[in-house]
Amino acid sequence: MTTANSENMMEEEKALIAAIVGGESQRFEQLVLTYQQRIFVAMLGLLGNRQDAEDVTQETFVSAFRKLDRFEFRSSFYTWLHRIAWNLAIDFQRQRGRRKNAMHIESDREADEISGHQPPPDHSVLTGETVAQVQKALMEIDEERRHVIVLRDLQGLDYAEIASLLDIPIGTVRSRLHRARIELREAMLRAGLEPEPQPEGKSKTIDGAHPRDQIHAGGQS
Amino acid sequence: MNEFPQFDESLLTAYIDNELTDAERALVEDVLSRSAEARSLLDDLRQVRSLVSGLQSIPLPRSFAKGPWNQTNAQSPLEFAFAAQIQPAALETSSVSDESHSSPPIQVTLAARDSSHRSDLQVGLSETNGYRNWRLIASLAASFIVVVTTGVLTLTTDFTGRNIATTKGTNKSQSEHTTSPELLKPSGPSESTVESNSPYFDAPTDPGSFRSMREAAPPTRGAAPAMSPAGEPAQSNTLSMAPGGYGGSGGRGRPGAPSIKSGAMSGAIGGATATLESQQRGFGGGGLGAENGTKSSQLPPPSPTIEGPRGPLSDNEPSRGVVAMNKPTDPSMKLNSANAPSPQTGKTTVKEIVGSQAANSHAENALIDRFFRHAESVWKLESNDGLQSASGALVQAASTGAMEEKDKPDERTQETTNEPPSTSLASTDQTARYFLWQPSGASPQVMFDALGQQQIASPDFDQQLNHTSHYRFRYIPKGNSLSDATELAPTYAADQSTDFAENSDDTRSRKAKSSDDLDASITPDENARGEDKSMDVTASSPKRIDLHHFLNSNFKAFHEQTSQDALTPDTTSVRNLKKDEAGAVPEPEKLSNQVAGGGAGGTTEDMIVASQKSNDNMKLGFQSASPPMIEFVIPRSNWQEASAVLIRIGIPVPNTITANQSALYYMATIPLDDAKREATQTNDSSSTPQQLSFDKSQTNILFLEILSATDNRDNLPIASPNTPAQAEKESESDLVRVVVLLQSKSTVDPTKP
Repeated sequence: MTTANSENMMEEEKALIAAIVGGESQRFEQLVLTYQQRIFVAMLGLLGNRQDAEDVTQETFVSAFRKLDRFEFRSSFYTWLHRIAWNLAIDFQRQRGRRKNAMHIESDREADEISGHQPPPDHSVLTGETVAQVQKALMEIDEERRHVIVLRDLQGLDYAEIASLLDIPIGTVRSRLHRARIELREAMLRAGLEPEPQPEGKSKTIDGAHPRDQIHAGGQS
Repeated sequence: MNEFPQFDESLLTAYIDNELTDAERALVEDVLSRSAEARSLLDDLRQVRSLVSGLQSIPLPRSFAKGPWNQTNAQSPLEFAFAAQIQPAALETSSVSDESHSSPPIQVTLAARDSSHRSDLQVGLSETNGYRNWRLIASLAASFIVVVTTGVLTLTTDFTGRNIATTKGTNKSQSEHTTSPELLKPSGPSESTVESNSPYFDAPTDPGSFRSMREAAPPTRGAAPAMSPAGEPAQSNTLSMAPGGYGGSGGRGRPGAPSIKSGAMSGAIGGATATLESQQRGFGGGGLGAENGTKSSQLPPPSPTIEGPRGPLSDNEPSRGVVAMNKPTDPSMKLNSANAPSPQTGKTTVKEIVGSQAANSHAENALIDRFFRHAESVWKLESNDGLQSASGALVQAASTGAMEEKDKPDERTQETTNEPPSTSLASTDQTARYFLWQPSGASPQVMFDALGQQQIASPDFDQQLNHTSHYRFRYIPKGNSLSDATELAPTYAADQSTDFAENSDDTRSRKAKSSDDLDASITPDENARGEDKSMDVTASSPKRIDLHHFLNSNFKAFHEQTSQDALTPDTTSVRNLKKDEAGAVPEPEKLSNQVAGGGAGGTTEDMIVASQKSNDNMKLGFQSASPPMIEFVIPRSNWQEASAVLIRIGIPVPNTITANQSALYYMATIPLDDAKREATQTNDSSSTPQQLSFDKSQTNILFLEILSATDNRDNLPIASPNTPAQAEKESESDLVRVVVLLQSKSTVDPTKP
């Protein structure tokens, strides 16, 4: 996504938001359609449970809709939206007392349903079981680190964006992310999810190019 | 990468993310070229990233594109709410497809000091509950029109918080209002009347899973409601609305999900009503932002439930737990931040704690109070965060003494009943004990009909823990015998007996005219039990307490009766125990797994009860040895829920404690490993239950004597991590075994050497 495109999108988004605030509330749907996948996936990564992620995603958009007139474009809309979602997710987790079932995938069937789709090209195909294992492993790592890894690997934000969003130095982003991946690897191993050896120089994702850009055409980072 | 000790491994992560400078990249590539370990690590990191990224491809379960933005047609909040008030039927079907129901009548009580305080109604509305309050305002406007039309406006200058019926001289007691079964029934729609009503009478919320969407205000810039900013002190205006008819609780969503899908128990009207009532009553919360300004400024955004606009989100900080013990007239009531619940508690917002002895005259209170007849006061607490938070907040408040003395909930009793205020029971050297109770065996409908005449759509207890609901707390000043407390609350007892006599089909229990009779009515049936019916739990007279029997014989009976009165057809669903195929209650170990794994039946309550059953009241539950003990296994992070449930279950026990005695509760955790070991050791059901020893070196005292002491309050947060990270680590400790020891006051503290 080029800078020009990004700026254009920002401008379009501003106009759209202004219109919504001005009374064309139905147009909020456009924002929802643009960002719902990203928010949902982020919440899935944070909460580890599809139902919870769905709930929080929905709540996020409702909350954003209510507060849209307070959005002052000091950050990107997505950043603002993600903050809302994050706060809601945190509240959600606390309300639930951090129960173990927050990370529970209801059933293998559901897990299969989750992954029962056609993934985009260049993307690793995760089976339902793998999805569940990854989610479970995610839930086992520190919350702050999980947040960073979700922002990076699920949201596709670059380090600077993550640093801005979390208000931490870029170096901290890097170290947290690294630690998160290390912990996640260990958690995956504990979960029996053995990382597959990859041929030298070949990975399932392209270094530096996040598949998010391929998946979510409307996404903005 | 021992060969490169100075190499920062995080550069590898940055490398695969293409977030390195040229120099850093060169360094990394150099290391990679020379270190197989580095290459291996890099591959692992890539693989991890790939796996996580793979989650992206999980499709949306559904589109979220449909929301309030599609449904409100850009109406302003006021327009929307007003329209809803006038034309409920038309809007009822707008987005709620399968849970529509008839609307109870609207009852409005408006009590303002004078016309100059009309603005206080707005002042009292919290910004964070803004939209809900918009609905309230709109409802008020609609009601006002109705009132003017019918000439039945009640506007009084009373500022004392008395029930308006008393104030205006109708002398119609609250019990007269509420003992009528009609008030417990959902009524037909749009019977708009204006009269006084129970202070516990909250509007049911919108029944639909998309209630919040209907309520959500389209964000029109500059069209902010004319409410005052949050934080201004609310005055004593009272707006009390009976079921407004446009709510009904949702709650059909997934258990425990606090989102709009699941609905909430307290509707817009009801919630706002409670807010204003709390101001009237002196120490209830005005809702978020409705109390004094300094307090409001500390308030977090409300929980992710569904009511209206909230305060701006903190940019970087997730909301922190704050207890809002709102007592506008008494700043000392405020809890300082140090006493606020930990983040684990969540955003505990004690929106309302209404001390009201007068409320004891309510029929629903009387039903409840069959079990708590010794108390002086029943408080209602409305918490967005459910039982856990409510429990935590109350325990916290009790431990800090924040609610002692100053609360004086019985001032209103004196005003309304002319009885001596029972605050005289609480001298300065006394400590309040708080008993939380939420009916344990009720279907939610019964529960909330009884408590607040709210109707809960979902019969899932767990869900209730995550939504606004009402809890009753009993306040018993320390140092007074329970029987004394009863004696000093004659009105309460009389009302209770009257209510039962009038409403019950069971002659034996419902014609009870005295507390003794009520005693008999709640004592386990001698014939059925075939054993000592005494429930004396003193150390000197260690009698076995059959808790399971007690629950069955009392709570179940209570709920059955409640259901009859409340017209709830199904009252047999006592608990959501997950049963195995054979229909047997799972063994504790299995049940623990259920909880850990997330099951509908995995509430603490379920665990306790199931444990009782599975152990045949031997291994778990009160032991035959003294002191009585309850023990069970619970996820460590749920300690507050455990607290709530234990208090609830423990409530009946003090009824039998004799004068000059008081129950002390000890709650401790034992690491799961130990618990497992002990469970293994006592696996033989024929063996004698082991008496748990309280070894401080091995147990983690969660709280000690929380109901009557304050010196151990510092122990409270032990199991409550202060940070999310800590919480995560805490949760790793998985299940813990909780032991609660009940003993008389005179018994030596077993935790002390």
